[in-house]
Amino acid sequence: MSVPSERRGEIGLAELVAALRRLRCDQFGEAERRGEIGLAELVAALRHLRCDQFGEAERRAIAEALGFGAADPRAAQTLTPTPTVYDHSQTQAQTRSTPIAPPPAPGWAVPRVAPTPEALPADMLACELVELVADPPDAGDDAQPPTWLSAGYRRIDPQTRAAPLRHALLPARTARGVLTAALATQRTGDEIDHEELVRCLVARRLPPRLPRVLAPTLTHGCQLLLDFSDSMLPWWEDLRQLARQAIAALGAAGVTSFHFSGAPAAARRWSAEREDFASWRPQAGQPVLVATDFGIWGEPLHDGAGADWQDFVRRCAAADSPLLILVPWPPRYWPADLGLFPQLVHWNPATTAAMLRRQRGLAHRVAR
Amino acid sequence: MSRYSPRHFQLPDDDCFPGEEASAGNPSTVAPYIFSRTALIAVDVALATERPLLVAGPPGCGKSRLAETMAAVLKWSFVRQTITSRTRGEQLTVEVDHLRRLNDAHRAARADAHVLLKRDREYYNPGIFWWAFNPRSAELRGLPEFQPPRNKARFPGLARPAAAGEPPATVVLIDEIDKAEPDLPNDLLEPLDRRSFGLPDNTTLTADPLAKLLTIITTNGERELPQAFIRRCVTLRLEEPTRDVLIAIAAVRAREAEPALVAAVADKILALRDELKDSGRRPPGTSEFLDAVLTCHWLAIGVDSEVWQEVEQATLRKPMLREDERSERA
Repeated sequence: MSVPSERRGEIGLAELVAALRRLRCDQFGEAERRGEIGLAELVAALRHLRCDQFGEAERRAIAEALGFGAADPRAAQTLTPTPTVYDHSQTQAQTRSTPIAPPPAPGWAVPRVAPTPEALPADMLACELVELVADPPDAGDDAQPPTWLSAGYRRIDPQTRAAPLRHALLPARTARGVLTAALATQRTGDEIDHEELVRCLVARRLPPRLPRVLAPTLTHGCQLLLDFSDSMLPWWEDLRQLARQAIAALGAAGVTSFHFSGAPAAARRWSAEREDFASWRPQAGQPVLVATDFGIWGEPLHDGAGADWQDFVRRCAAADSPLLILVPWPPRYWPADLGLFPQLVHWNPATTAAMLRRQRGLAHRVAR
Repeated sequence: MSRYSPRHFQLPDDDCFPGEEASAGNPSTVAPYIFSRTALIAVDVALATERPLLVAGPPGCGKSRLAETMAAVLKWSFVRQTITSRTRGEQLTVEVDHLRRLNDAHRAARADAHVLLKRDREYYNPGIFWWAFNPRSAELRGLPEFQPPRNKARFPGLARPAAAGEPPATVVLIDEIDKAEPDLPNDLLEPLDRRSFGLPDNTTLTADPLAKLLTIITTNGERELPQAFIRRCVTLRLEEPTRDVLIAIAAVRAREAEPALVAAVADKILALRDELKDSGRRPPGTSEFLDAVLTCHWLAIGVDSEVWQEVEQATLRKPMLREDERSERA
């Protein structure tokens, strides 16, 4: 017995959807998304501009305008620190602010064991010293320099030696997003908060002022406090890079850099205009970004960060300056006595803007 | 190096746009502009690829004037939006005039019932991208021709109407994008990429497929822009002009000044550049050079006169310290 064929009836919506799917309707009616500039675009531009009629210089200029063939930006990057950061590479000009402490032993922190003294033989052996006189070299007029001096020999020019690449704690690809998320404050935007307005009207209440949606802003800039203590020595280059990245994200006018070693509230900066050091003080509402390891030398903190840090946090809180502390060590090394006001962030390449926003949202909920 | 002949526009052999005088149909004057070879190629590439042109360079080097000049060279309409920290993406595409609507609603509630307009689109204010994508639709606030809005929108820039049968053509200048909040460049990706944007009623406005568009975006480089944004643009960096270029610029922008005076001020500019770069301060740009030349010309002074020191302070050095602070330091 044959199975009767299913009656299809009139054309319905299901059939229309199926037809549209077969005809790949998602490719109609919507403007083409072009994405980033690719090699195909370079080829098309060269063809369109009739590149066969001009020389290599023009072709190179076209490629550079489209983002190809440009010099490596790292090559153009100057190694000098930003003007607002004290040049800590000039180590001979510095004086220590703390007494020299014995460096911690590498590896596991175990008590030092004094080596067992070597046992000396009881009897003394006789010896005779003979003066050695070297033969004069046979350097005649026809002496030739050894062949190895001119062959297989390459002089290393220290001027052209490239600096080894290093992994930054805040890579270029994430720096802008992380710093933007970290340093954004809220301000009243231009957009009307419709939800709040409707809520007021439904409650038959006239809002005292037109409610507006809060918008993130970087207009407050930030104060950047960099810990150039000996404990932070492995990250001094990252501190300098952080200053450059903050200026790139917020603009030179928005970033005021200070440096400290020990108490953060004693941070100061060199003022070129006044030709003197200026001390740090919190500016009302301006975020403070600190990069430090709390001077722990890689050892977990057991006694907390100390009175200096608590006083520093209190001053920032009193000025209503959001405080964000970048720490190159993971959370188990962080002090637990700073309260909820500062946002501590693990300063490492895996840190993202989303992590910061999530962490901040969690902190706000806990604070409430 | 041979001269580059752009494929999409024409210039005199000296690559100098001679300027455009104001006329009955065109109320604005466009000053002469000397194109560098790099600028010529970059603009030509932007027109060929239909990509936005991102122009970087120090202040006063002619970034914004490049857009204005290109509109005059191409004889296209010109719209601009100067970006501030409060600029939002909606201002460049479409905004709803809530206050006008609220006002109309209040008036309607009192007596004047016919004042309140029934259609939402009556309250749309088109931004520069809407005007560039479809000027007619922007004028009608997105409403159909047979039911136009009660108040048509007005073109916000310099209109150079296309000839009959020709598609609309516009140069869009987005000035100083580095002043924007960090999210704004990302908000521009859709209009720049797809040539479309969403309207508040959840429909999409798509550009007239025949519309010609040259988008020029300028930055002083005060802040870094997102890589995704930069990779969608043709890039051009305008460098500080050399001595010869400064003199050539003065020859077309300050014709009345003596060549000897122009050369002397150009030498001062070069010396100041070296001096100020060492101190980390911004060196004077082309516009400040022209200010100095014209000041010297109209005050009839030379660079060796006593008054020059004050002219240099006012037009070129622009010190940040107050006079009393300088005296105190001295």
